[in-house]
Amino acid sequence: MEEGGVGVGITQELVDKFLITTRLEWVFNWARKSSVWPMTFGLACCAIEMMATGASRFDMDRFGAGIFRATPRQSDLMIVAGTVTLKMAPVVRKVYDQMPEPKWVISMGACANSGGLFDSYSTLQGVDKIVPVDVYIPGCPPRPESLLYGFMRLQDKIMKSSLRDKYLKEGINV
Amino acid sequence: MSEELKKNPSPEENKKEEVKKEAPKPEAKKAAPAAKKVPPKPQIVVAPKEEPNEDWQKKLIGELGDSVKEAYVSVGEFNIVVENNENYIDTFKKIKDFGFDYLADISSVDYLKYEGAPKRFGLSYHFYSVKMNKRMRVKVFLDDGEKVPSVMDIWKTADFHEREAYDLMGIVFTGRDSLERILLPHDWVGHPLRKDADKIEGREEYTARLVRKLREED
Repeated sequence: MEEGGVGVGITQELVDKFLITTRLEWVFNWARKSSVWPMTFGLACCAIEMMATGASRFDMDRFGAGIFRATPRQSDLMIVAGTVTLKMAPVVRKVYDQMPEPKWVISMGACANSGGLFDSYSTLQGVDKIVPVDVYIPGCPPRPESLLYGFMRLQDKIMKSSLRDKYLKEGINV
Repeated sequence: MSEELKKNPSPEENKKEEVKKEAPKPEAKKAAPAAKKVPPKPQIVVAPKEEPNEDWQKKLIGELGDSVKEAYVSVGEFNIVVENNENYIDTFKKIKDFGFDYLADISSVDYLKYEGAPKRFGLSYHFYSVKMNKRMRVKVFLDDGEKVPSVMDIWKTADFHEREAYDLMGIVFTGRDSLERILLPHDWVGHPLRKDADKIEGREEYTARLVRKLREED
């Protein structure tokens, strides 16, 4: 170790070959977008399309999002796939609250977006009344391609997010 | 000869074909503007009513006597219309004694947007007789706010059906112990299947309360 502590042995050749410099924020965002674990959570027929998206033909694993977790405490993404009834609404909110930060929500299908064709006394008219939604996917139900596209839009959104956002949200001035 | 005819159709047949080809065009032109018209108000579509012919039907009508306002067979189903008066419960007791031991359903109808209904609301009692293997229906028409005696003492299962009619349509049944909501939450305001409001009664209020509650818990 005579020749080198840290820094002494770093030659220009080493830098060119092995080292990259970047922003910490970018690394965080890249890691987060590449391992968005969704929650096993289906409410209606949209869940069938969500299952198809997770299966081998469409393969959400390509995005690092194929691991549907069985508990909200290990999940990053809630895909609200289906009709949210008024009776189910508190449960959806509770499950969302149990997810650790950072967390995202995709509203999948016409019913979750706006109530859809169920303009009835038992249906919540849009899941955005109870949880903050990042991406809305239209369709009844949306095809797996739509869900994948929506998921890619979410990845774009994650890449644009900033560590400051969290502090700004909590009212802390950085 | 027939083969020749097929190959060389006579001039008369040619003319017929031409007429057939031209004929649909003006009809299609006429149909297009008709489709743009505003659809008429929904009317009660009454299937042709037939006289009850079977022996058991005549026998039942005879037993019920004056309380039967109208009795008919429509699309093969036996219907009786009764009135909401002091004989109401007796009529149902007689129907039960006659053999209709199973009350399948009580359905409530709001006739507000229909033309030709005698009153605002309607109740249909659907019966089935296990031993006779027959079905029948009893109808009664009600004004807004008119109360109906409960048939819970005769058929215990009327409990849930009457609570449903009260919950969604706001029809009040008397002579029974408790008339609570069955499907909707107990703090719901209004009866959502009534047709008099453009909105669904109570949904926005309940949703707002629910959202407020969830935010407070957060």
